[in-house]
Amino acid sequence: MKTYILLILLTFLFVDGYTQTQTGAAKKYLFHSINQGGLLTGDGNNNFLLQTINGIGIGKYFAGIGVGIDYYASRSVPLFIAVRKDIVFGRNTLFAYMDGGLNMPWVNSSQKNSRIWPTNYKAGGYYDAGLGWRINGKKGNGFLLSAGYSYKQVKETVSIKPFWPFEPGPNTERIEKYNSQFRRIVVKIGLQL
Amino acid sequence: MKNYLLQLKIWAAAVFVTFGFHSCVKDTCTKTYTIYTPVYKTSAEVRANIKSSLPVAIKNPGKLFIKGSYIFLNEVDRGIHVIDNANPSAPVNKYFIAIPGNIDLAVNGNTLYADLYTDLVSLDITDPANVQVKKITDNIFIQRVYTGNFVADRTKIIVDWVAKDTTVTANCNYTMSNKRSDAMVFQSGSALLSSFAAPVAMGGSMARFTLLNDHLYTVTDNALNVFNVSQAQQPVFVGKIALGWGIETIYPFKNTLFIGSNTGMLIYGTANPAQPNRISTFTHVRSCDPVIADNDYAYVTLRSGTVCNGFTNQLDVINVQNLSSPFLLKTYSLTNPHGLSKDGDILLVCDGNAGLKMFDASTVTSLKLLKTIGGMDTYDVIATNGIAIVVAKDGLYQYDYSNKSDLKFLSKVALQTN
Repeated sequence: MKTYILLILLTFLFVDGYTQTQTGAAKKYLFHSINQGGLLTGDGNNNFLLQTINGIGIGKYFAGIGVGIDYYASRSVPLFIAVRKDIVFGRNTLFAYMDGGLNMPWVNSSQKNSRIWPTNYKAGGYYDAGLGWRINGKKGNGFLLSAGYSYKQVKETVSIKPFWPFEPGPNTERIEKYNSQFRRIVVKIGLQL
Repeated sequence: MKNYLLQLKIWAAAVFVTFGFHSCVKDTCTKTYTIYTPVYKTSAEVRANIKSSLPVAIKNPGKLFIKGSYIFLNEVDRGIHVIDNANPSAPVNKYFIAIPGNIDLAVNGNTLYADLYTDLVSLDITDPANVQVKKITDNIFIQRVYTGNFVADRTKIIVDWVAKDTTVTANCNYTMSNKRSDAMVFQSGSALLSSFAAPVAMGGSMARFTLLNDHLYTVTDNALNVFNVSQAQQPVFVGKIALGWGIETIYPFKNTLFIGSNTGMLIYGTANPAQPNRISTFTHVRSCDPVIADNDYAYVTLRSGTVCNGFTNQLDVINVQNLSSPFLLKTYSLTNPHGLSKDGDILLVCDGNAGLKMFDASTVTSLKLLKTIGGMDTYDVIATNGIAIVVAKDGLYQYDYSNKSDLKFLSKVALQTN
């Protein structure tokens, strides 16, 4: 998967060959709101996500801040910085994107209630990278279709208390730390406004 | 049009490549925890070392028992601290008696009873500086086994544990789903807890040892053990009475025994001290429940957050004027109550991490909260003669409650945390 991320990164840095109309309007700063939903498929689990990214585009580049809801394995809220680069554009546009930030757990009540022991959830890493296709409309609007590789991490610390407060044994409270890393394929559709 | 087709081809290729990596997507979950490896000694080595030694730092305090001006404080699984409490404002940790596997204790005159894993040790404590083993009764607490996959070498005695952190691969579905049970490993399946109430010697409400009418009563998870201690330093095992599972604490009240289980409170009469008989049972929701009694009422705290399960955190006041038919009088909501103690009209409750709470219990149907001492995670309390001795997660506290309107801090023996 590192190869895939490297490919996207190289695309970002060096692929510029099919750009045809970058002069003039390309220098104008434009606010964009990207709102999309998608399907996540991974190691024996499929679920969906919703996200909104808001930022500024200039020419073939775009940078913004995104937030979403990711239901894969355990509900969480990714908060990330998003960058995009149009690789080939004309009437429609091929673009590469890279998102990176934090994945904040937002466990639901059934998960909370299922825990016997106090569980502390911590934010983990989050990134998503891939390629997309934008069917351009008027004034920079467009319909988006993208596919990529997405990673999210959830950290949990469980404090396990003994049967009795004074339970015999090596200690009276055990700490277990769980580090869950989820690597998924993500396909998204959405709108750029 | 040509450009359009080119883009479509590139994007289609990208999707193809992306899904080509599908076999690479993998959820990886790890679990980091501490493995404890037991350090064993032979039984002969351990027994030879049961004596008054230099004091050691208090790290993991458990049950306590007060006898005269001394506090006997259990260091969970390691032994008993002997604390000179002649001046409650300045207690002195004077000696340590190494008793591996110890969690319970009770004092009868000048004899201290303590569990040593499966055995019962009787010690002469006439001179706390020079306690002496008088008798060891073997294999009384046979339920004392460790849960999980760990099996102790029963030919030896565990005196210490060596800790080592380790990280292993975990099942992601197991980790993140609702199925995880957080199974306890290396925790005792049937701990033994202590105590007794008498004018000059007193234990806490979390006790699983108690003394009444020349008999020592100890409870395990499912049974009541009876010892004749008319010769205090030579206890004689009389017999065992099956109680059913889930037994937690025992408390003497007049000539009866109040036994707390995680589904109720059992009342046993001791007309025949060698063979207590069940008088009645008061049933409550499933929960952990230390119990004490005073005159016409029993006080039971129910708490959640342990393997007792349950979601109840409350104090129940039960009318026991008629021991044959106890009934619930009033329920008070609390945070996570543990041990409790009553002295006159003052009721003190250890409310877990909500601290220590002092109530005016002059009218049991209308308890009045007089004071809360927060900032500590409290386990158990003994209140006698205006002094409350409180076991908390971070130390042994003492408060003066002689003034009903206040709890005056007297001292704290802090724990060594490393």
